[in-house]
Amino acid sequence: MYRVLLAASMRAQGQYRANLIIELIGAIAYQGAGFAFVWVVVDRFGDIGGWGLAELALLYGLRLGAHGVFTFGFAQLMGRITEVVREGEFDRYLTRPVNPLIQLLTRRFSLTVLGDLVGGIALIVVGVTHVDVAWTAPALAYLVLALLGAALVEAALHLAASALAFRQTTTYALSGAIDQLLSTLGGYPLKIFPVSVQLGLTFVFPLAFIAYFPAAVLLGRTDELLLPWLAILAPLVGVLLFAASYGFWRSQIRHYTSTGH
Amino acid sequence: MRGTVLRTGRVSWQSRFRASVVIAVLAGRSLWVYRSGLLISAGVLLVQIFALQMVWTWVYAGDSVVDGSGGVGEISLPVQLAYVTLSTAQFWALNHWGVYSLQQRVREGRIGTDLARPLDLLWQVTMGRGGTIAGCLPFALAALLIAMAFGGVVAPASAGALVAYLVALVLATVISVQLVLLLDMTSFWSLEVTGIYLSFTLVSRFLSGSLVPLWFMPDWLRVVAGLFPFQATTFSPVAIYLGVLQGSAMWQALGIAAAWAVVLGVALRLSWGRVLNRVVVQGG
Repeated sequence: MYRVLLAASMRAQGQYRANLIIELIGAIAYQGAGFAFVWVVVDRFGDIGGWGLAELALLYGLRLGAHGVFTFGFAQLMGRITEVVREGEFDRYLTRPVNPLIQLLTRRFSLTVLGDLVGGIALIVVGVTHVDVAWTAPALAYLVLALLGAALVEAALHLAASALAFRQTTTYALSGAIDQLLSTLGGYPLKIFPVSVQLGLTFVFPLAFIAYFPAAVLLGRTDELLLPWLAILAPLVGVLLFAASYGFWRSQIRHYTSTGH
Repeated sequence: MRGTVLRTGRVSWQSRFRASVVIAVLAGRSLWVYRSGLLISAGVLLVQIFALQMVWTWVYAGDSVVDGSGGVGEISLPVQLAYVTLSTAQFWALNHWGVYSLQQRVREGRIGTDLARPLDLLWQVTMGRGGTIAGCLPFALAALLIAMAFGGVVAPASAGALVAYLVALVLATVISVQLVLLLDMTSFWSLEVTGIYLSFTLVSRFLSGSLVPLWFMPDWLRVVAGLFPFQATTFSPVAIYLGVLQGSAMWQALGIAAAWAVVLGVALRLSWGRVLNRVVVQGG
């Protein structure tokens, strides 16, 4: 009997593990479509904006890795607030002595979020080992800081969108749009876009700080940037944006009216 | 309609037709309930179109034409821009999320009620999907009009090309729905299919030509794409519209698409029979 149960348990675990691997591959595949595009275009045309494949791999890897770090810590910010508010779960958060944001972030965890992180790091490794850059300790430290800062930028965007849920606006579509925009636009060196678009993607929708600025700094391409000094400060901008977003979140909680569960 | 069932014990084809239309309309209307989300999604579609136009304008780097592979000849920049506009909008409309999802209903255990209805479940899901696509069409058209205002669309290559395009579009819709249904069926075997879904999404997106037209793919990849039905859902119709696929190449593309529609339809029917024997209803 014990053997039967043990075998069943191992089969269940095996299925879980197989599932997990499929999930990871799936997540990588989903985000990988963007890089597949870049790869095909470079294969046919040589480069994009003067950036070769290895440099584009680093750029895309930074975007994907940052998304991985973001989903690792902040996945619940992507639209989940709507159901949390609707089902009265948020009321329970408010009765506890722990910061409600922390409660929201930790309510659930799925290992599948590792897919983007693994994919991103893989691309970064490919980029790092193939570009013509001296990887000193400061450079590597900047790379790590850039990843963390970029995750904070993405978290800031989703946190601001989630804060709108307190005013009875559905944030699910908004979070989806943010995710799509970052995926669509995040893999290109922004210099190929018109100046107005570049400025928009810096000061209106801060995509540039997520991957393009740090990558340009690491690859020594700061001369192609409009504002090189701003680019170097990308990780710091991430922290500032998140702080601002958190302030907005707290201000919106005051408008929160319970659904009455 | 109720009377028909009670009296004869069988559902007449008129009732089935009416029921099908009702399901399609309901699916489209349910989509409209989420119109703010739909509007945002359409907004993102526009951004994607403009971004791709900017990327390709840069890639062409002042060249007015670039050689396409696969015997299609030269592709001018306006044609390439029109391609990305039409293909992105088309892919969006044919693959948009809908309120009725077979996989969702299996997971929530509601599939039992669906099976109890007198209309064949496969047909219910097909009409649901069709209704969703129809609901997305106005938004896709609006996006196309806006893109056109910025010069992203060209007129069809000829009247014949336009007619062939419409035929190809119908086939593309049929094949899209069939592929989604086949994928959804995997949810009857395993309730956790997100990984398969996402991998399928990448492969189908890419090989359909919705990211890169087949004429800019490396030769080996173009050959691989030719083996699958995906290119019939995005690449073929748009290429026909633009006159890039014309003459015998156009007829070939249409023939292949029609063949795939038949093959996938048969595959659906066969696997559906097996699935019904294996229904796992969760919860209840």
